[in-house]
Amino acid sequence: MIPGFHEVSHERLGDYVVLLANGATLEPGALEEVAAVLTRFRSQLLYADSREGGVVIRRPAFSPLRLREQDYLGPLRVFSRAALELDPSDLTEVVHVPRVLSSATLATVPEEPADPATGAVERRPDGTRRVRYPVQGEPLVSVIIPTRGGRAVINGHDRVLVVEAVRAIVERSSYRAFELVVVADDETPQAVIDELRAIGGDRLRLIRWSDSFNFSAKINRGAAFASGEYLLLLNDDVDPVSPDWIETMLGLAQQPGVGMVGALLLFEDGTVQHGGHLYRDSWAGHIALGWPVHRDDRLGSMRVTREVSGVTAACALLSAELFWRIGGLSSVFAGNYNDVDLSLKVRSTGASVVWTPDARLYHFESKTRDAAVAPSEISALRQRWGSRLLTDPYWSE
Amino acid sequence: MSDAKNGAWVGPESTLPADELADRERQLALVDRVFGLEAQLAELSAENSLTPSERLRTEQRLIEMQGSLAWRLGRAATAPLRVAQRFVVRARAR
Repeated sequence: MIPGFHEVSHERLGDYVVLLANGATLEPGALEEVAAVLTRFRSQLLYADSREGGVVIRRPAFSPLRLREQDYLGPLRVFSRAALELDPSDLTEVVHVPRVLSSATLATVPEEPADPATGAVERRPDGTRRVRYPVQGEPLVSVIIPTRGGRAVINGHDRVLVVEAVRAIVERSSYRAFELVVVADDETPQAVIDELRAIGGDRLRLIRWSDSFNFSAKINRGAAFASGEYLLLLNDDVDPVSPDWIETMLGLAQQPGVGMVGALLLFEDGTVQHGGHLYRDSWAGHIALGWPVHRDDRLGSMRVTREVSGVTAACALLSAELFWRIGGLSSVFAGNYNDVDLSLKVRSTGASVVWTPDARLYHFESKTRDAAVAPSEISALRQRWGSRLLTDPYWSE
Repeated sequence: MSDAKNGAWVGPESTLPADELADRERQLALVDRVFGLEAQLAELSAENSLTPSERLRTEQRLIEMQGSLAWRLGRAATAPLRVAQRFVVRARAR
């Protein structure tokens, strides 16, 4: 798999092989550091942070789906001899050393990732790749939308959010095997209900919600009625931009090891609302919040599908089997952090959470929204997941 | 199950028998409770549940924190207290 290495006799190789990109040098003590880590942890592949063109490049924890679209491993990589012949995205024991172990005066040229076994590869204008994972079969997707029929002025037009969201899904989504499970508060205006029935037709399941507000419980109520093999949790204030958003997320969710998939969400003004979750310093937030859509980090993380610590439940797709296996959304988190908890529950099963820029939606949440977080929610989150909220393995900036 | 309040929307809606819906929601709540307890238990042995990359990152954060100005100032400010504490411990041990 490594260019040129098929010409080297394996008998002449040691247990580990250090590969250094052309033009890069090792930092003092780098090999000792590598040896120390390899002594502590079994590893098929080890990579590290680097300094390129004078700038420190921090790298994420092992992200196999990302690796298929972007070689983010950097100039130094250490393979076990047995792993040399394998596609790095198929490896299971991979260690990232969060220290600068190599330097290059210029940015090193990434390697072309191997073509995946499944999926069509397209080259993006910036040199990265997009892997389209075809949907296996035509599974029914239940789109669960909790609502109370609220209105907002979007682009100067007064609109009923859930009506326009449902209309956009029905009229503009290229994936057609879906049902709409709308969990509507008692207070939802009758005209909104009537319009939803007219737009949704046979696809629509209307579920009544008569209790006090609890976002998690409303989603769980929807799941109890859903008959889809996959559940797509969706806020009522969204508007899909990519017609193929459902199949993009579904194709990823069907990949081995993937538990939940999230999307690129944009504010009304086109800036980023959600680029994945970021957990750091006992706090949870959104990656790239408020960034112009073309802004990026040094690695180009916003351009590629990648593993993340979590995704927002404003738009998240997972299998119904997994949803039920992990107990759905926790009603302990009535209004906030329910998606953080859900993401960490998914990851605790060993599955990954993935974010993709190729499923793009507007999310008309106010930029200045100040969510009232109950102290009990923060406390419960830290009790459950305290150590998982200290550092984010997938986002280093 | 339907439990509409006065003034609530009307018309066809999806329903389930009350006990069946309660069973499903109870199942989710119970599984979530188990997950929550398991997560809390894992927190108590967090060191063992971290992947090698996470462990290295946590160690690196600790090194960076201990090298920070705030940490060193804090250590300097509390040094007399720690010295006094050492004297007290020794005195009690005698």
